[in-house]
Amino acid sequence: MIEVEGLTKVYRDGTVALDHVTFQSKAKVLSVLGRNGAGKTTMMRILSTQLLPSSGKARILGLDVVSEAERLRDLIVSIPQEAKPVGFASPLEHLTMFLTARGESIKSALEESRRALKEIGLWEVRDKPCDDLSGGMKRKVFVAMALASNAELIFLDEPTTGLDPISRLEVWSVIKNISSRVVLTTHYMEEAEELSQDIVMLGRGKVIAKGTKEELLAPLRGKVRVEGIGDRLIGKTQISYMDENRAREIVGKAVIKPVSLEDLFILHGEDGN
Amino acid sequence: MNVRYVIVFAWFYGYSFLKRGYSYVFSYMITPLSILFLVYVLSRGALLQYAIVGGLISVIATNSVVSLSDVVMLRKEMKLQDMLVATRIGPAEYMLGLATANLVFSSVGMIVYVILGLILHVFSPMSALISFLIACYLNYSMTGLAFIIGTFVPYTRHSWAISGVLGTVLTIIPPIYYPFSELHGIVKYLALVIPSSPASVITQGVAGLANFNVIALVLLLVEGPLFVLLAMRFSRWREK
Repeated sequence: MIEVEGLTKVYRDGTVALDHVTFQSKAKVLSVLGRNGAGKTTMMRILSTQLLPSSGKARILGLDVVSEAERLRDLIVSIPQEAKPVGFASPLEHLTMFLTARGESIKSALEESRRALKEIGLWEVRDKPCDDLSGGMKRKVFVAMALASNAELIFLDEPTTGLDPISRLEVWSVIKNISSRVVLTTHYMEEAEELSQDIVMLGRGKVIAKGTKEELLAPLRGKVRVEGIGDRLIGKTQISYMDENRAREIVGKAVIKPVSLEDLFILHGEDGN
Repeated sequence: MNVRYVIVFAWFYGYSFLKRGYSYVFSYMITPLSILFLVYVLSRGALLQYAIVGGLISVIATNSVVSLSDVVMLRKEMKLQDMLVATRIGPAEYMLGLATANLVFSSVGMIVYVILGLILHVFSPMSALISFLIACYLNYSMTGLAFIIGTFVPYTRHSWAISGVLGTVLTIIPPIYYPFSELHGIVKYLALVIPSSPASVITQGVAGLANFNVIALVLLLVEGPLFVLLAMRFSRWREK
């Protein structure tokens, strides 16, 4: 259970990263969507006890992220967006170190590390220095760390950025089958659609939409996206939304596409209004 | 205190570095060995003992100071600190893990100097052991100092400059490669504030190169826990 109420973060330079964010979710997988700078990473850092909020409340699994952070840390794992492995150390060394940091014995940490490395397809390279791994494999080392932790809730900040299509599917498979709850941020709409039951969309630090995929797309039900006609501009492309029947009349004059979560960003505009 | 984590982190960050990045061992030894050569030539061998003692202290002090860059890199570039903040680990355990990793990584250089000291009769077996332990102790106090500074450095590139300056201030200027008795007046006492100075002065005393200095011993013993406590209290761990 994630309960966020009026969460606000103002950095020292005056940047308002989060502005009274409020939402609740009981979903097994919650996706947080938003453009670059929308406040996704700031929110993930606050919820995973790395960063203190300026005001507002957040409770994760019933525990306050500020006053009960110590207890909460036993239950969560956070994989930051730009995490990079230490080049000289191997995947097995990374996982073992991380699990002992979470309080496991060395024996248990080694066992869990080996299990996770096999499960995620890194077993063959377990003893190689991470400098010798591909970009996708390096990213998977962190997913393996989360997998090995058996945490109740895992925060994954853009877990599949930079992965090739097959590796991405492998990570999706892990997320789908993992017993832990997951909060993930992503730029990939199909990832959010595929994996999550709840979605929160942020725009410039504010919640611009929240709910299930079906709830979020309800305003666009029965409509299609038309590119080439309309008063909304994305770059130099005009965009509008029309009923399917009406759109059939202009086939050949414009590009017609089915709507997706991507369209919510267009609907809400860049400033989240 | 999660001692298991400290040990595993030393294996993760110290031993793996030593095993796969041995060129860095030559890198951190080249300056003290060059100074040893210069001291030998310029003093016609008369101050060679000081260069051996200085080299031992310098190896560990330099690597401890350079760990400041590791602190910044692991926080800013690797995001390892962020990941560990969200675990049971606190700043003290993280710092002790880094310090122990640094000790493992520096151990080859320290052993080289101890062996050189034994071969050149600077150290007896007992004084070699004591000097080695003093260097180990110094590692923890100086890594504590580096950790406190490192958690506040905003950019990785700044950390390289800061560790370069501190490396010189803490390992070349103080009485590490020369007798403490060469300093006079207030400078003598100011020099003792730098953690590497009391360690060097005591090691010089243990090796029979200078009189035993009680003030230096007290300072060394106080600075170790002091910097660890300061690291726990004043380092930036969970960000505000």
